[in-house]
Amino acid sequence: MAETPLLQVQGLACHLTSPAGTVRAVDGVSFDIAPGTTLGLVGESGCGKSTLARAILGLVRPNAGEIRLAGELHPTRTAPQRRRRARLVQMVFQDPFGSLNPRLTVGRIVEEPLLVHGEGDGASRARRMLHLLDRVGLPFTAAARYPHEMSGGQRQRVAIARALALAPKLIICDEPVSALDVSIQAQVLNLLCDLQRDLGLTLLFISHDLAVVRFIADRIAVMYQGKIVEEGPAAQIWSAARHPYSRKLLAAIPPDPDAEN
Amino acid sequence: MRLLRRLGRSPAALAGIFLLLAVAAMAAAGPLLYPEGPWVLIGRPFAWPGELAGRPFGTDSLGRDVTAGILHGSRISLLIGLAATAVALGFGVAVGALAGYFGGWVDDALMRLTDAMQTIPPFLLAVVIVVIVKPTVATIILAIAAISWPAVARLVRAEFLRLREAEFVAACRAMGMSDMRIILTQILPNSSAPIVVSASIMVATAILTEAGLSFLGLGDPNVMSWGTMVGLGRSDFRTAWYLVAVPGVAIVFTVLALNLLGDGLNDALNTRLGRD
Amino acid sequence: MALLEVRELGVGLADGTLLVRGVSFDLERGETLAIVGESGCGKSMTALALMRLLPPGVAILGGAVRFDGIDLARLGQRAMEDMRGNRIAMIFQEPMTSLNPVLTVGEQVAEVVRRHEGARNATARARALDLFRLVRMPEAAARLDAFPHQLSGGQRQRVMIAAALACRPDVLLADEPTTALDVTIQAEILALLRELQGEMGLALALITHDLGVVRMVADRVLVMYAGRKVEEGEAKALLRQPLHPYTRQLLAARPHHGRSRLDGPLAEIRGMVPAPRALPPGCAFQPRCESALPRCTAAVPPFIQSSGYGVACVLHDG
Repeated sequence: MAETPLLQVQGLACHLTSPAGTVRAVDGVSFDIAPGTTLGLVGESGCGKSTLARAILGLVRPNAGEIRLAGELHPTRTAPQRRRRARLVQMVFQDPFGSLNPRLTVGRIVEEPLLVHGEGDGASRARRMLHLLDRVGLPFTAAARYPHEMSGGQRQRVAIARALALAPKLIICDEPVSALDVSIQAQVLNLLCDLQRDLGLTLLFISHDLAVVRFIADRIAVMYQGKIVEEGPAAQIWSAARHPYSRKLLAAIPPDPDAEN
Repeated sequence: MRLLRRLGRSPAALAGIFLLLAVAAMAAAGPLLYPEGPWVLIGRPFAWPGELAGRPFGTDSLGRDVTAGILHGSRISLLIGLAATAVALGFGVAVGALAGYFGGWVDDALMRLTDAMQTIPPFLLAVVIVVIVKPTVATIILAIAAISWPAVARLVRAEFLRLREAEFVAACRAMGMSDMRIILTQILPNSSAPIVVSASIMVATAILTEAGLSFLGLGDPNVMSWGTMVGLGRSDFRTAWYLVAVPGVAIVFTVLALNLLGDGLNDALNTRLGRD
Repeated sequence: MALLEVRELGVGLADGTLLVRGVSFDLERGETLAIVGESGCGKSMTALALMRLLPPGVAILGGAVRFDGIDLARLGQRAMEDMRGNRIAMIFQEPMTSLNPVLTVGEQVAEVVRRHEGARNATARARALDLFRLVRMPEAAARLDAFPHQLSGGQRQRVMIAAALACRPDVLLADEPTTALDVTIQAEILALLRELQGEMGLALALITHDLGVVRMVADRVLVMYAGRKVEEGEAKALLRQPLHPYTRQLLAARPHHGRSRLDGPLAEIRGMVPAPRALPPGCAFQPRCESALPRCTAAVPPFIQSSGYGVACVLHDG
């Protein structure tokens, strides 16, 4: 029995206009993500992956096409509509510096979604916030700290805790580990895998790093100049990609350091 | 607070704060030492500073105590300076925030308004406003606020243009936060640095503008400000130049103090931003 | 005598906190040495120290940097300026901020030629064009009059390389030159650097955090942790059989060979890099090390060298 995909993107197009002209950042993209699975979206700078992420999140209004979450369209015209969508899809951003308000404590940052949605009272929110911090491997003392007092890896954990606050079904990860040291990348990737397994999350994992995407994703979609040029099971894309761009991407990856010649 | 500690390390800020405290002390001391006010005739006219006992700054052309004038005048200057700045900040921050955050036609409309206000030389505009409306402390405050708000509106707009693209703002929109809440709780607190720095300069400019208006005889006739004193002493400048010098020096010191404080605040706030 | 000999280099802050602790290495002509480590290990500070371009508040606190016999650490300001760009050059990670946004890229390269060779405008411009061709800049002549923001990341990095190589230096330091570039462009730029090195006989010191890049281009590699050198040796051999636990754990932390999460979690390195002011006693890596022994906290393990390989670890102190 086929379940309804958690995310269905159909013929999506987003045009960005600037004084220099109009760019089709997303140019007719269609794909589905089955619930509880991870789709890895791979592409280089300018391919449109970030614009696609923001469109799914509801921050950018598409010029054409549809986005369905759990089978329903979720328009974002009014504030209540935006809040309804927020309970379904959240995002972890790339920049551990810029994605957290420098003036707020970590505890406040993680509680913010609950405050905005009027969830519970002060005590229950605080309990949930501490529970979230624990989930992402941060000590409860982190709640009183400010973002600039924490390392990049810790900040990303805060960003993940915030994304989990409203218990969304779909989490978009936009280059979540690209700005982190290698030894910390492994920690955060393992955390995301654990959370997905424990909470039954669906992930859209965006990255330029194919090896990382191969690790975490069930299926991989390759994006180039606003279009998805290839999509398939992760193992297949990794070892037997068909599209010339996919192969060029794979060929350009630095070799495994411990590879034989 | 970290800010206070950092201010403490800046000699400019410390000097400014010290001078401002002196001015505040003068303002507080005024009604205590001279409860009758500055308009009372207390002795012979044109007494030089130090000539009469207990009248350190002498008397003016009608025999009023200059010292009383200085102390009471400081109250007027501070009142008008702070009140005008508060009104200008309130309006200017609102305009700048809305223009910078929403962009589009809102930005265009508000910026054309701001441009319009800035095309007329500010001091002349204040004069025109005060001449049309009867000059009282309240109308002077509003007139000065009217010429001061455009500059802070532009600063705030620039900050909002920059910060609305920040990822933490995108995260807030993604969680369904309303625009008003984002403006007030997310972006505004992160824009405080330029607002605070320009506030201190605005108070200085307000005091100077008020002094200029009073000098021209356009001040509130019921209050004596430093500018009024300079204006009254103008005709006797050749023989009794202290009547102009004493209030003039008071104005200079206050404006200097505010500028030093502004510099200190600028260093304190911007080093922190630079380090992060 | 090697072209560049760094001996016990110490770099730190005014209060004595050391960011680079007693680092020594040689760099030969025609050789590519990769200096590898994560943020805070001191690799960038080492390169900046060699160029005497340390930020305010940071200075060389000890050691020597012998370049062709001259100690760069003790050279006067003017003499060092003559060296920079001329005999020893550097390129940086973020070409957008390293290039002046209001000057054309051709002008910026010509400036280097004028400064060091005293060439006149026309000559300098012609040299700039030659250099653009040298770095395989597409449509070189047209690009001379472009501004940095009109170029792609890869093209900007080519401009940086052109400026750096303008006066045919002996040593090129490259600080994460491809980290901000797309992976397909990274491959092109790294290939370019290798070719130019071969053509010009450069000594190339490449600073990176990416062990795959090391495997691609390096002859020798030097691994740094918390300001110290912890392992050094021939690149391919070291990466296949690392001796120091940090190198081993760093290699294991990346998903190699098409590994998926179904094969199990990645091998994390627990904890974080220690702050320079708060180093643990003894070996700085000990709290995070899977092979730690009680005596690791006793003293900082000395760097022991033997036939081209070296490691600072009690497990290998013979």
